[in-house]
Amino acid sequence: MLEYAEPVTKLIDEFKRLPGIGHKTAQRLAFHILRVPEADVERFVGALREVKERIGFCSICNNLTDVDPCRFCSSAGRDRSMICVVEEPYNLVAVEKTRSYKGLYHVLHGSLSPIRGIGPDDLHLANLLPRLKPENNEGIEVSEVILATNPNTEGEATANYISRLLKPLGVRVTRIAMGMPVGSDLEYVDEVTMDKALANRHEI
Amino acid sequence: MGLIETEAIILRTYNLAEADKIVICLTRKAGVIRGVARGSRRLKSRFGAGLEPFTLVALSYHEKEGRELVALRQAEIISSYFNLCSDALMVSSLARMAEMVIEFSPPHEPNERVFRMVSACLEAISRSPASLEELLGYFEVWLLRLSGFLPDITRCSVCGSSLRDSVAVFMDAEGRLRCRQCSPGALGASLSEEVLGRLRAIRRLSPDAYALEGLKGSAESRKELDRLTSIIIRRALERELRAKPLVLQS
Ligand SMILES: [Zn+2]
Ligand SMILES: [Zn+2]
Repeated sequence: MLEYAEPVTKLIDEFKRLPGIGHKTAQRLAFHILRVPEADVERFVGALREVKERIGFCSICNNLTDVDPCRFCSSAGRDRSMICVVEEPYNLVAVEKTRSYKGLYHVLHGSLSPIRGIGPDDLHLANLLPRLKPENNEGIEVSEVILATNPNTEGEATANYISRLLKPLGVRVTRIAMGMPVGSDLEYVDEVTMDKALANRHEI
Repeated sequence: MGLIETEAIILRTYNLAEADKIVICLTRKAGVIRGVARGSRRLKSRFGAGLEPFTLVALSYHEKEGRELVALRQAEIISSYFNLCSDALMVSSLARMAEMVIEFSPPHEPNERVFRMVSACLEAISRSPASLEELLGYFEVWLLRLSGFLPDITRCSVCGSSLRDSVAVFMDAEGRLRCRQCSPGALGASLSEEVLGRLRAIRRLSPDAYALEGLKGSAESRKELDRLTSIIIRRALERELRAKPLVLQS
């Protein structure tokens, strides 16, 4: 890597630290930065700094936020009797995009992964149980917790683990349906997905 | 190189870039291999649920000369154990099995007996999930045996006398078994008659038969077997396994 001036090499190395970025992409990004006007770079650096300075976890739901509690947790328009549990903040965005869910969220920041040595203590799980008490939820009782972890092995194990923690408390715990992606064709669906789709069928 | 088709058990996956996965699997024809499944995280991916850990699939892949990673083309499900995985203890136990297979199998070296043993254990676990602990013990002993780390359980490693006749059996610092006479001062870990019985039963029986037999044994001896395999695993890998059985603490 001696062919570039040191600052360029340093920038390439920084890009390479980002997830999903290999050497070639890092190189392309670095040369893009060299080409763009100074002002654009300043704006980019400012955005990086601002996100680190101003964004933290919501103390109630662990969502990323610039105000604490976050906009969901402090909104009068949200249904406080429902909590939707997701793995990552971007999963919350996916649920929110439906515009049909009006409840609150709880972000775990991960899923159980014995293979990677990620256990329950590594998830943001400890502040979920206290939320079910009305005194911690503006006097409102939580009637349902929806487990919207990923439909894969780790997401399933996580959902199962949380449901076993919550069930003794008498709250209704539900799991999002697994099944056919809209716009797909039965012919190309594997048997696990088909099996889940059948198990989650409903009356029409 | 052309297309290779073989049965395979998915052991572990990692996300790569936007929509891909790196997959480690145990194949029948080529042993443990690592491959890239392009686009496998997309909604309409042709891989579907076929790359979830512990799935038995008909795998096809391309190998490139001089490349460690193969390119996965297709993974048609033969048996899926996805329904088992709703349980955290089950997932963590299967993860431990997967880690052991990866650690104890040299890459790209086919081993028909290991493949058959792993598939038979998965099958047995899915038939009787309640026997998970027994079957995990069975799996560990067999994997250690097939990779040459299990000591001879029939004869004393020093004098060669049958261990059945010894009043007590000990494991020395090298992990070999010794009779009472060859263990002056009774040094090393002593093995109970019941755990030796379990080791003999594991050698003799199919996983299903051992699951039934093992449940009749004491919980004490199951724990002892667990300690014994842990010692051998630690000695072989020079570290602990990362995946630990996960029990619900509430
Ligand atoms: Zn919040
Ligand atoms: Zn001896």
